[in-house]
Amino acid sequence: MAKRIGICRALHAYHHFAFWRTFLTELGWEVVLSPVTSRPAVEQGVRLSPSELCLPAKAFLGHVAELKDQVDALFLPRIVCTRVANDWFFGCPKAIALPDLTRAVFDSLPVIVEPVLDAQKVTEEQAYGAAVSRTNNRADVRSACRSAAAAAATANQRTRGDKSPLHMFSEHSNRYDGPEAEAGRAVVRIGVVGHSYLLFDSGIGLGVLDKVREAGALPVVVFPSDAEVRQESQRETAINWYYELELLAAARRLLEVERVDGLLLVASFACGTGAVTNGLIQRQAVHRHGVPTILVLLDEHTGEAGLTTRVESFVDLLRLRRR
Amino acid sequence: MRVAFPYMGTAPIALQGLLQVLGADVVLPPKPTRETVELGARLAPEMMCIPFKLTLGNMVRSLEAGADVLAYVTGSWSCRFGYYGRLQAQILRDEGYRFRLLELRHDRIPDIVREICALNGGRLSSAVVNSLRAFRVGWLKSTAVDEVESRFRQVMPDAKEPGKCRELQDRMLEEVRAARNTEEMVRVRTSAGCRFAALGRNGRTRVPRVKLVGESFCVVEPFINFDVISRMGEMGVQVEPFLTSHRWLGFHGFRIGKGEVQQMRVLSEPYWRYCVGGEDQNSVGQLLLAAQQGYDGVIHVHPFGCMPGTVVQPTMTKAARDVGIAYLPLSLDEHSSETGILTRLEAFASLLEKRHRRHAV
Repeated sequence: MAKRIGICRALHAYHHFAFWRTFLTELGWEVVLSPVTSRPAVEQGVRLSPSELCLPAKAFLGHVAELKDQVDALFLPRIVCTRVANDWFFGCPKAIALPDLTRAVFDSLPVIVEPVLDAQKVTEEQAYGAAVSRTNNRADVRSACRSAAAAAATANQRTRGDKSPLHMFSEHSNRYDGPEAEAGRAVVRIGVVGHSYLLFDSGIGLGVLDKVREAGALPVVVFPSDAEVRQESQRETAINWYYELELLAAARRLLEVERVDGLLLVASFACGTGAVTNGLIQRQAVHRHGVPTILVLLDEHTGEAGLTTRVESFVDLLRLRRR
Repeated sequence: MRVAFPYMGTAPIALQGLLQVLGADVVLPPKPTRETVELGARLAPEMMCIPFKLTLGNMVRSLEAGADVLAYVTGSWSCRFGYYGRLQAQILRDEGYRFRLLELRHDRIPDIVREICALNGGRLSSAVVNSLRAFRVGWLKSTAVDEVESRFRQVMPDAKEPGKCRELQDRMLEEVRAARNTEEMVRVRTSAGCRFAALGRNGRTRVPRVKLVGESFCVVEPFINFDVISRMGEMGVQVEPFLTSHRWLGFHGFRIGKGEVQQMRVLSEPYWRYCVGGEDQNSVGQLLLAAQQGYDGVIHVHPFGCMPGTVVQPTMTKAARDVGIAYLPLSLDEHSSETGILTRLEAFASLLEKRHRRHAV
């Protein structure tokens, strides 16, 4: 019987699930993905975490709690450093330290498969290979890596269209067919900038995209291409974190190409990297493009009604501006 | 060139001496106050960590005092620290200040050398001579400061009059700052022992010892950590920081003490396998080392929202439980209340006292 390996439906999984699933399946694992973030899982994570941790990381621990007794191994990669053009870009320190944090808060855990992806030191293949070889898996890492990369590329291709990165189990479309569209009136378009693990995880993101739609506007989410990220990395305002760099590139496309009416920034409270990026994006949107922005900070205390009200009033504001 | 750099603990004393010998004019901002923090907090992103806000406020004060070059230690790293210089420069430029940004990083060494040459009339030979002199002065001042602070920490917990002890420290630090020649600097250092020993003792026989670990700025800057060393001293507890200004300059500036970095990596391995910044690995390692060295407790300070500081905390809790050492985590920011922190420190001090009594029986 194939050994079961668990992947948490949180944080990096929203980016890399296609790769990980193919890679691990090729090596003979049975991949178990934790269920959609539920309220009890979040509460469990909150109980285990230090209070200052950001919500997605707390939810991550909740996912670990759900998975740990059902699987033979847990897949917890550390994404340390990625190369873009000639520069190095880093992951968030909290995410890098997640395996250590996980070990500190749980008393019993299954085997942990922990690839350290540090492009300064090793290639992706070496990192994944080193991690799985420790679990006595002797299958061919190289070919598994190759087909995983192909699977990720196909998934990304679809992402570039109108699907989210986790399109296997979450749907998002940049089309709108509300009453305004039927009446032929112009629809208010709101660019939404935020990490996939907030926008597409209704458990912690409270379905913010649906809220925009319900308020009568079209949420526009874009996923920057490698070229756009590379271009962004050359700018003076480029920052050191890879995943934030992607947000900067996304925001730039929303402002310059999509020409949205407003920008909704979604971040989690105590997100250290977001503290830097959101300021940059807001400054760019307001000062350069005259586009209104709103910043929604999510944590475990965020009330759904409060969020709805804020989104509705933002949409109303943009409608008034149009007139 | 009127240069300013971020303020941290007593490090500016040595840095000022060093830069003056190099021929630069140093603009030292006033010591951090509530008002400086508020100034920085107004300009900085809300969720930014407190060292950023405080140093930003300090830089504004320096610029107002006429600085035209801001020097930063920067780098490219996952922790926000490496980004301070560039981000603060952007904010300050938006505020309308005009200055030149001098980034001190490994790949900018040629620029730094050129800068030093320019200060010495463009002559490389005199730049080299001056640099050597400057490093010597910096070193002498730094060791003198370190000696004064170390004697202070030893004497404070059983001083008859803690106020006098603090006064003496301030006076001696001022002497180091004012010292113009080698003899004066050496004299302050060598006299520190006698002068602190001359203070009256209160006859306490046993003083609990606590190690202070955590994010470097919070450990070194007394304004942020509510002067935990002298406060705990007043309560009769000796606090030894794992990092002092002197060690910071050597340890982080030039990476002296390679052996210790290695030792910390080995010690912390079971708990913390990857260093992400904010002294996380050092903190875990120092906690385990403190237990081996017979310390009674560990205080762990980090700025609120500090990314490595937050994630390392459960690990520290677990490690402290495993080795049986008392552990107090403190998260600090501009909203931390003095009373709240003091209450926790007092509770911690009495816990140490109780544990000691229990062990003694």
